[in-house]
Amino acid sequence: MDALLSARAAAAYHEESAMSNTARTWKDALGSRLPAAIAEEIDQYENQMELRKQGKLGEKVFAELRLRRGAYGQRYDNGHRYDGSKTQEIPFPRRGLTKGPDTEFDAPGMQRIKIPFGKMSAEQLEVLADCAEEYSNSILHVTTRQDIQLHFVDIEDTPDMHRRLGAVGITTREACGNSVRNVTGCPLAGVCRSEEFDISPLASAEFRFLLGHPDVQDFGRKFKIAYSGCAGEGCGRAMLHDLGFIAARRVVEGEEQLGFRVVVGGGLGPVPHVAKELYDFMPLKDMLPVSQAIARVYARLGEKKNRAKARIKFLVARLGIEEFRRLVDAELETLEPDPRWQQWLDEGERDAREWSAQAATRGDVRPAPGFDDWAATNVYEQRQSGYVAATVNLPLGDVTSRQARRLADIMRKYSNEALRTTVDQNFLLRWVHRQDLVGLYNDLCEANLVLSGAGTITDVTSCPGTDTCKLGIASSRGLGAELRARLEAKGLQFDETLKHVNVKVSGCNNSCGQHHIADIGFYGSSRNCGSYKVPHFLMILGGALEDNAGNYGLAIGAIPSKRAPESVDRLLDLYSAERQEDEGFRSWVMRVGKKAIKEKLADLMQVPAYEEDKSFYVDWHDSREYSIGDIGVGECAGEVVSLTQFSLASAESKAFDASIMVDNPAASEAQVQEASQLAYEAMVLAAQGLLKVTNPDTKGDPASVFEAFERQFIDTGAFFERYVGNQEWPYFQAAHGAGGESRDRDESRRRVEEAQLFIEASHACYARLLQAQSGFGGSPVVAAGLGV
Amino acid sequence: MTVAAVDDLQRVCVKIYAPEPDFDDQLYVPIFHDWVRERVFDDLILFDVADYAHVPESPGIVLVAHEAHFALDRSDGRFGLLIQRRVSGEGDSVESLACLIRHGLEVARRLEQDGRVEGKIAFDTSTLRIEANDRLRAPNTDDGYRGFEPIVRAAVERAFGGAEITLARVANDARDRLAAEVRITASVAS
Repeated sequence: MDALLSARAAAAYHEESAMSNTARTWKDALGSRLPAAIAEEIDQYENQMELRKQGKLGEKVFAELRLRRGAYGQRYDNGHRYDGSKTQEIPFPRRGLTKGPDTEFDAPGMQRIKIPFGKMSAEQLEVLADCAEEYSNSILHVTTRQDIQLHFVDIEDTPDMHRRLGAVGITTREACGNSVRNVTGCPLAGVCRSEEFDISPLASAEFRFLLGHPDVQDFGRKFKIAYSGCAGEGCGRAMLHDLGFIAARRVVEGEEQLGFRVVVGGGLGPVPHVAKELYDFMPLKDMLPVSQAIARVYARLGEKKNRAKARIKFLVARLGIEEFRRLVDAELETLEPDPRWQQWLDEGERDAREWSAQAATRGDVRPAPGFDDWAATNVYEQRQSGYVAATVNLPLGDVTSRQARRLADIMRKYSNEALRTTVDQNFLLRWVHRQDLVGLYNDLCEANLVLSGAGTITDVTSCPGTDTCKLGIASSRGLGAELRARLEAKGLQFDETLKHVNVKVSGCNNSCGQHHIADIGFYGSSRNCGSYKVPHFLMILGGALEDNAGNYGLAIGAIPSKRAPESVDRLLDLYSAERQEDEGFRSWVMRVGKKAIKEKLADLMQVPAYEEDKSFYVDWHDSREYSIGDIGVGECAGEVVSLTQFSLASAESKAFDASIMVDNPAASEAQVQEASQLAYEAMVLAAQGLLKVTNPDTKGDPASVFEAFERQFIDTGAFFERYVGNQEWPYFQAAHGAGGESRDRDESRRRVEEAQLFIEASHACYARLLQAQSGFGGSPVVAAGLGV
Repeated sequence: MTVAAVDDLQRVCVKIYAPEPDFDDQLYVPIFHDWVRERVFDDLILFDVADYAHVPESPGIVLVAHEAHFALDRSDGRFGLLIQRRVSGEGDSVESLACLIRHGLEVARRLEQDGRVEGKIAFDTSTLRIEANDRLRAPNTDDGYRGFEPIVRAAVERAFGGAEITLARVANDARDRLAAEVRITASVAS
């Protein structure tokens, strides 16, 4: 592979080395390679860090400043870690010096790096590899939004990292925080057989135009934009974005026009929304002003105080799409023409340009073993005759620094450096000459980058989960790795029936693993069993990638983490046995019904007693007991527990029935309303269950439950914990205020999602009550009169 | 010459090789979690365990400390314990590297003695790979090596108590870390 190292790359490195003979800092070494404006931004950030260390800059302000540079927090950065039996303090050297509220300065963090529409050059990949090696642990992680993430990064290293990335045209600016995040696009754009046209230049222009734009600096939350080349496929996933552009054509007076269908207000997260159509067609030249107008409306009218309601999807839902469109149209009228609109479009054309590679081999080399399997799943025939795109399948989105450098060589040799990160957490090499396919495979083999099964059932998507994410509830990567290994061992990536089923795993309900759009989705949850906590995953069925990921699945129930692989096996067996000719997985789910499927998985939802099988009380690829297992529960409490658990189980059952009803496309208006009522009743039941902890005779009429719950759990703060309760309580309030009714199908569907979340929060609250009764309780519980 | 620049070299790695063990990497997970819980090292702040065993030729299972990553690594195609400094250590370049070597030897020894893998893993402490993980101060060039070599020699001698050592630069991709292979032929104390 060394032979592949191009003269150009070697020269660049030697040049850098020569510079460093005299330079003592990256700032000096990079000098003019870093554009002045970017250099100044990074210098400012470094100064802000220094001021924070001196106590001259508040922790909240610094937190937002570093987030806007993509420097994120990471698990355990509050300086505490649960070790399986108790929570221990991590004695970081500068304990008490923080980089944000409850965030230790010395704790490692995550660096998110924007890769607009996934396009990167060989040199950029090499610098990313260097940064991963020097500042992280030599692992580059590709995300579901085509970013690269590095973990375990010391914040003191981030300014130099930003300089090195900036010198090769990569920015981390606004990768996190309340800003416009990475602009994503179909990885196949420009070579796709079914696209209307190449969206790459437009995505590039959008990214450049909005980066640091004054109109996008005052959002209440983040803002995600996606570009899709066609309406039918799922690669662009426009429907789950705050703002989506779907390529379209129309003929006006005999002349064909290119443009986009514009959709707005989509999003996953705890309460997923499918985007609404804002314009059925918008000419290309109007894309940037439309984006700017939407941003201005969102900045002006979007929620700023309640983070849980601050995404644009809530604004669109609140106003209605017609009123939102009226506001955007009015905003467009007020915009002064900006010469940059055309300038960015022109530069986008230049940025996105790729061209066909000359053949690098004569096509007469013998393939290394495994070529046929790999070619069957990882190679895509480009629409340009004689060229293919090849997916480098990365397990859980991870690649090492050394592999990345070898890939950079391969890019130079075979694809004229045409590479994209994909929303499935892989790399896509484009413009590979068909004649070179065997040579490419052989070189990828040397780099250990020839995992077959790209885009199939074995290509499991997973967010970081409890490995590194502060919000993770269960080990999504642990489950993802386990599922991959088991499905690969069965060779299902080559099974004609099952290979098209896709699996996605999130560590919590925030949906970074995009579980809602999977055939089989999971998100992490915690359940109580006796006095122990057990890691679970909510199983989501019925999502779909097609139609720009415009169909979301709904939960059918919680599966103990350790039984999740078995549940997948059983689902696949059922599907194989029951499917009708050419019936896809989602169609099978919709035909058979989630209720029937759930019944067939019922035994897998049970958790054996702790004494019977302790392995259920430990998450995947971990050895710590998941629950605070040494906390006991008295006999009296045990009786009360059963009443509460009964109510929570009934609530889940009602929420499930509601989900079945609202998920039925043929549901009548009356059934849609009934689903909404059921969801509300589920919330009442969950609240009643919590009230039963102190009063087993709590009455069940909604008004009494609501009033008592507000007094006992809300006014006292007992329902709230750091990340739980603040958004779920308003769901109950809204449902109660509406008497359980919903305006339309969308709202009914959201109410069902919200009921599930309220039940989850009730489970969490109940767990805290149990802790309190065992003598480890927090003050809100005692304040609520619930302490023992 | 780069010698002056390398005075500040803190970002370094040490790899201690071992024959490929005949057991699953997941066996290291409970061992490392136990070490974190029990705080088995006085001078290391252990706080996490990372799992990259699903990636070929990767850091594998990593014990994360404030001071360094301790990875059961196969990134160069050979199994071994890779110790990568995370933050600057105390003292100059030599002391910082010597300290990292001592930490590596201690972690390797403790792993060998853990009952769950005892007798199944044996590190060869007579050969170390030492890498400069800092392309600014110690680039992978001839000049870079000339500045790096005396630091490696002094640090190994300090860590091994006046050992006799032979040192050779590792021939690798110019983009990889500058690396030296050290053979310890005789040691007064370790």
